[in-house]
Amino acid sequence: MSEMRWNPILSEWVVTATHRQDRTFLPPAGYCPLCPTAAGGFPTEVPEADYDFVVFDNKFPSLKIDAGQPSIEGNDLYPVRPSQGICEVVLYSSNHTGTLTDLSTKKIQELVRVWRDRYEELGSHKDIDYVFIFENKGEAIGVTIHHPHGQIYAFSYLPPKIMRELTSEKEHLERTGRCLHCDIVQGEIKEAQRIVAQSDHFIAFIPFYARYPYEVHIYAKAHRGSLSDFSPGEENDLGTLLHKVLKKYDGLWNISMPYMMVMHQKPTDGKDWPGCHFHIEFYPPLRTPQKLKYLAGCESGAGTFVNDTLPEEKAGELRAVKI
Amino acid sequence: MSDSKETLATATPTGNPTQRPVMNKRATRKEDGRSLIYYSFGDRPADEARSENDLAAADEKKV
Repeated sequence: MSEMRWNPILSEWVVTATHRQDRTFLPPAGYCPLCPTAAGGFPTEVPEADYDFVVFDNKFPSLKIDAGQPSIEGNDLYPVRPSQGICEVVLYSSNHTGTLTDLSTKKIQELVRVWRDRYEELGSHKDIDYVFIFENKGEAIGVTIHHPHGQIYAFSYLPPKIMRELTSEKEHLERTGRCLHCDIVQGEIKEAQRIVAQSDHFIAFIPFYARYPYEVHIYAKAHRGSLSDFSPGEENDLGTLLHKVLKKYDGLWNISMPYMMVMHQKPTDGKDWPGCHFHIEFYPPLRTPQKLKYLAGCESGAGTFVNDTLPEEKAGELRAVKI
Repeated sequence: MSDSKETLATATPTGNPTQRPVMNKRATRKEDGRSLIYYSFGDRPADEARSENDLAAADEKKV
């Protein structure tokens, strides 16, 4: 059963997806559903091994384009609607071991082009308002299959965090005539102390308001709303800087750093969003190699994050990592 | 920017004029109707690369 239920207190949708309780959970070696189907072996999600990247519809989707009717009737207080959308899996490699960090820089540059293609194809669908590209990495985040992969959720509405960001962008633009994110980028370049790395067209820094100790954001230095706005050179540059950040994460403590990586870019609802500015946000849950930053009472119950560290110091640590 | 979805894929890029590599895309369907898309990069289309690999595999079997 899958549907969207309205939370009238927070004014946001919650997706129920009970079929996901049965999804694959940490399969034993040799039974990865994301590996290519071996001759004589059990059928996996991907029949062929000869590819650079594979994208397919998630077998256990939270959202479906032909979502059925809700299992429960809504009312004025509790509206419900079909959980309409598209959930895709993006395989980075046919090789079961390794991570995004282990790919070559050239391959990460190619992945940027695959992301762009998915953004444009999914976003062109009449029912899709927002294409959300992300990766959950590591068991600390809740990863259930280790084969290197990312995901895409194409929403039929603007998710609440995105909507909040869009509202802030609009208010800043109306008040100052400038893009909020461009102002942030210019400020970070000027202050320099929170910069982790930068290239010709992109900059990686831990923001002034970081909620996680090693929360790196990667921004286009010029005003670009989405992946569709990048030149070929900018796409390459993004892949190069992204790879550098990933290597710094793994080099920090010589472990494979778990993280959530999310992309924020222009909605695909057909409206103009002049204040929207493409960026990638990382949320690594570790504050030390052994200690997790939990989303506990204050974060989950009050919505206020308590960061035990200073972004200026943590950026310095990542900046110092030799790669 | 106009108020249309058609503009998504046609935004004018600026900056470095480097050429994009050829991206080959082969879309198929799974038995249950789900989409499955293979991407490969380079000068050869995905189908050609696959058929060459099939030939190589067949050669190996012959040996």
